[in-house]
Amino acid sequence: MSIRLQTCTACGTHQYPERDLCRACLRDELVRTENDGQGRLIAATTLHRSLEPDTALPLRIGAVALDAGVRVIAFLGRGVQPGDRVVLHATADAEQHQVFTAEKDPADA
Amino acid sequence: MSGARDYRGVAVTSPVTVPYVRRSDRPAHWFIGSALRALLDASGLDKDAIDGLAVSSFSLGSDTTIALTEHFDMSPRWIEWLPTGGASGVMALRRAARAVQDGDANIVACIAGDTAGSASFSNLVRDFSRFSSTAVYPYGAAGPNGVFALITDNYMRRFGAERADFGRIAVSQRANARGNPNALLGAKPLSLDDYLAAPPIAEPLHLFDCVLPCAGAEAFLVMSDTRARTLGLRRAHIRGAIERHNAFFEDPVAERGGWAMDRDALYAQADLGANAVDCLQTYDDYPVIVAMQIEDLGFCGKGEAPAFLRARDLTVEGDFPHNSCGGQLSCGQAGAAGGFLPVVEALRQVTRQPIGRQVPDARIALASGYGMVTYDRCLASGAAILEGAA
Repeated sequence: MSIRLQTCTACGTHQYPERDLCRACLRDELVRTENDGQGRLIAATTLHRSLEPDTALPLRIGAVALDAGVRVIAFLGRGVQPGDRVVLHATADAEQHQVFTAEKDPADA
Repeated sequence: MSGARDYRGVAVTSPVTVPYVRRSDRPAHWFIGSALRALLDASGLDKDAIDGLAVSSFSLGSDTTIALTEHFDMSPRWIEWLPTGGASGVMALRRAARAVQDGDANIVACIAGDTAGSASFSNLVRDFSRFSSTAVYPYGAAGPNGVFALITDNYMRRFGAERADFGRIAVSQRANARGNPNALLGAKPLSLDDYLAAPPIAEPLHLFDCVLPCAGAEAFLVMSDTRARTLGLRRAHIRGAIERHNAFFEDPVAERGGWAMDRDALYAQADLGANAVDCLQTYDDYPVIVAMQIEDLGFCGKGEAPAFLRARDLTVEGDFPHNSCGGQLSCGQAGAAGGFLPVVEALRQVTRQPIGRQVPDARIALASGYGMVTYDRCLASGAAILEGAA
C-alpha cells in the first residue's frame, strides 16, 4: 500500500496539500511519487457535529506527521491513538483527490 | 530587533460597536456602513473628513473596500482591504498608523463587519481556501472546530492541560460579560460545572469552547495626535505593534504562534515589559489559542499557561484582567469583527469608554489577533500595545 506525494525533482522536497510550484525552491519541476505513507499520529479528535448533514457521526480524524516531512489530516482506523506509528492508506474521491485513512503501523507492534 | 520605526504622533480614537445579532438578513454592507455612521457620531466628524478607509469582512460577496466607497459616497485618498479575519484589527491599526504618519491619509476609518444569514457560515467554511476544500473539509466537514480540536488535543497531551484549565478562560469571560448589553450570552451565567458538563462538539472541544457565529461590526479611527486633541477625543497611543504570518510552519501541529517570534521586538518598541500590561485582550476563537497567546506574549513560559490559569484571576477586578467585555466566547463572533474586538476593547478600556465593565486603573492594554485557517492552523498573528492618553 502506498500514497502519492507531490515531490520536487530539483530539491527533493515533498508537499501536501498539492501546490503549483515547489513550496521550498519555487521551481516548476513537480512530479507525483509513491510514498510508503509512514508517519506518526500527533493528535486526534472525535467529531460530534458536521456541517454536512449526511456525515456519519461520531467520526474520528487525526493529524499525521509523515516521515516525508508533510502533515496530513486523515480519518482514523480502529484503535489508533496519538503517539502511534501509522501508515496512511488512500482512496480517491469523486474529483480524484486522495482521501487518507491512518491505520496502526503493523511493523510497530 | 525588528528595527521598525515607532508610532509616535498617532492617536487611536472612537471605539464603536454595531450591536451583535444572532442572525440577520441585512448584507455586510449595512453593518459596515452603520459602523461608519457610528464613527462620525462618536467623533463629530463629517464624512468628507474621512480620507482613509480600511475594511475587513468575509461576507461582502464580490465587493471589497473599493466598492464600499461608492456605496457610501466617499472619495478617500487611501484604502486598505484586510481579508485576514482574526488578525485584521491589529493589521488595520498598523497600516492606518503608517498612512497617517506618512501623510497618505489624515483620518482613517478602520471597520470590520459581517452579516450572518442562515447558511453563510457553512458556505464560508466550505470554500474558505483551496487547501481546506481539498484536504480538510472532506474529513467530516467540521469546519474550524475540527482543526482546533486537534490543536487542543495536542496541547493537552504535550503540556498536561486539563479541560478545567480551558474552562477557567470561558467562565471568567462569561463573568466579565455580565453588564455588557452587546454580549449575546452575557445574561447566561456559566459555571465551571456547566462548562465541564457541556455536550461534546469535536473532542476535546465541548460547547463552551466554541464561539457563537453572529452579525455585527467593530470600528475605530486613526488620526494624528494633534487632530485628536483638537477634536477633543479621548485617545490612545500605540506603544508598539507586531505581526507575523505563517510562523513555525514546520511544527507538525500548531502549539505556538507568531507572537513568540516578535514579542521581544514588541516590548522593546513599547519600552515596557509584559508586567506593565494592565489588561490583555486576546483573540479567543478557542481557549487553547488564549493559552498560547498568554505564553507566546511572555506572560508565562511555554506550556505554563495551565498553571498560570489556575493561579490567576482573569476577571475584570482580578489580578490578570483578560477579555474584559467577555470576548467572542461570550459576545459572539461577528465574522471579521471578531478580529477587531481585541483592539476595540483595548481602546475602550484605556480611554474609559467600556460598553460593559471597566478594568480599574487600566492605562496599558495589549490586544492580539490570530486569523485565517487556510489548512490546519491560523496563519496570521499580530499584537499591539495601546496606552491611554491623559
